[in-house]
Amino acid sequence: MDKLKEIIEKTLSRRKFIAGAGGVAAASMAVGLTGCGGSSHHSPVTTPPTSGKFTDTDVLNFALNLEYLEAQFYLYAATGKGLSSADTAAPSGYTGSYTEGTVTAGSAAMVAGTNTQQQDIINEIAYEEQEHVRFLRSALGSSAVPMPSIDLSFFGPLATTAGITGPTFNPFSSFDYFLVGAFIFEDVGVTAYAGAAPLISAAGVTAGYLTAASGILAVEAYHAAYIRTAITANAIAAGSASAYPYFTAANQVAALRATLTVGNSGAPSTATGNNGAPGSSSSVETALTLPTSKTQASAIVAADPTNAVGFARNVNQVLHVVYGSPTVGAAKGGFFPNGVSSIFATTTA
Amino acid sequence: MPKQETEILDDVIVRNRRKMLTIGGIALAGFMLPTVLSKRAYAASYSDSDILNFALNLEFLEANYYYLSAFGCTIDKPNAAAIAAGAPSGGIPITGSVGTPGTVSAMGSSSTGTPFTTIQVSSYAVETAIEEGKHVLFLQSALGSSAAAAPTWCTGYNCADP
Repeated sequence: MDKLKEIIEKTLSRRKFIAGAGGVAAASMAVGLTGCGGSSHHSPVTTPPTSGKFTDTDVLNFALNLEYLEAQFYLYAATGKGLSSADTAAPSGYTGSYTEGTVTAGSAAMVAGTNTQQQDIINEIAYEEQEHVRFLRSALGSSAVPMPSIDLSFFGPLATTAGITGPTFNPFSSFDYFLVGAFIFEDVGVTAYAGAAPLISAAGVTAGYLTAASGILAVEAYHAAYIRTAITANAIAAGSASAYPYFTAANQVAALRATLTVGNSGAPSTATGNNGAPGSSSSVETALTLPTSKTQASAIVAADPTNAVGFARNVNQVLHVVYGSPTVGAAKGGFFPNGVSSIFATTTA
Repeated sequence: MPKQETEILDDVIVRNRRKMLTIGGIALAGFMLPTVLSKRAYAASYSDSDILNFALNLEFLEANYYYLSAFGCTIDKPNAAAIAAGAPSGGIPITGSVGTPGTVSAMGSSSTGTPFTTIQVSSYAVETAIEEGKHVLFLQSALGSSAAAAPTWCTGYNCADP
């Protein structure tokens, strides 16, 4: 069982990393959700958290920030409108000043030109992401953070940085573009929940938070698998990557995410950093492949090539991606122009 | 609600443990199982190895299903197609310290696998087969000398609870 012990120790060391300082026993950070009633997590904090200063509430609220983003994107894609005001309003019993962010919609609208099946897919994902927002807000109760400001026009600059050529990238302009837009989010969502799992306290595990988080991770993985399957299948049907440029665009997104995923802890397979190119031993990305025969494997699942275990990104690495910034100390940017509403608002490595 | 689910899980575990006792014969190293089990007594009587071995049994099933479908062979006897797609040339071990390796009963002729008509579905099957095989290897590696042998399909699983 030495291997198992090793895995557990590796997981615990990620906890240390997230806390900012080394040499701290993980157990000292285990603070139950019920023990947290303060308001320190209600607004973005620009200094990285120190050991023992975050709770299960903070971890769930970090996830809630990501769910607000995903829900807004998919709801606009499905309906042309974002979350209802009831889903972003101050929760009952909230103490302190509740400052809700705004959504910069840009060209966000119902995805154009979809057929029934495609619209159904968008509707389903939108519904599920909306339910994730509601579920987390319900679990957090009066501790749920306000929705941060969200910029859905960031897709354009992100695509430019990724090197996607052709007409201006707009995930709302066609179902194919939508797939690439969704591709940006889903692989990150999957890795974010895996990376946050070791942050949940022992009391939180008993209370069911880990089980709930793994359930949300599974839904994000279903979404990601659909997106990756659809892009791969469309490229195979088209006969080549050049005949279906969205395939190449998705891989350019994966490559950009890899360069943004900086920081040297939390790598599932190596301690030397996981910001390598997709497919390299230090990467948390798996590029899509285009099988040309029935005997070749596709690359629908993004997982480490040795064990076929999904990747994890810690909060720092998630922030780098959603802020679209490799800068250490960044507290806002990209999809979150004013930063996330979280104790984990600043990139730390 | 989580509490209820936990209780349900406890009940399932206790039931399984009782069943195991009546069957007997398979001892989990290091554990003395009382003849009358309460949930509380039970809680301390299983280990992480037991949980991972339960998962390993499922991975054996999944891996063999996808290997048979994608390549027409079982995980322990990879053919050329499987090896070309990334299967370990020596096969994936099906032995272990818990139980004896079982056999696979496949439906119909499985020597050629599923006759897929599209690259989309076939390449998906190949990818999934290789990934499920890696899950078996990963769990075996983590479990080391505590790993369970592959069970016989249709007759129960090697988890001390057929």
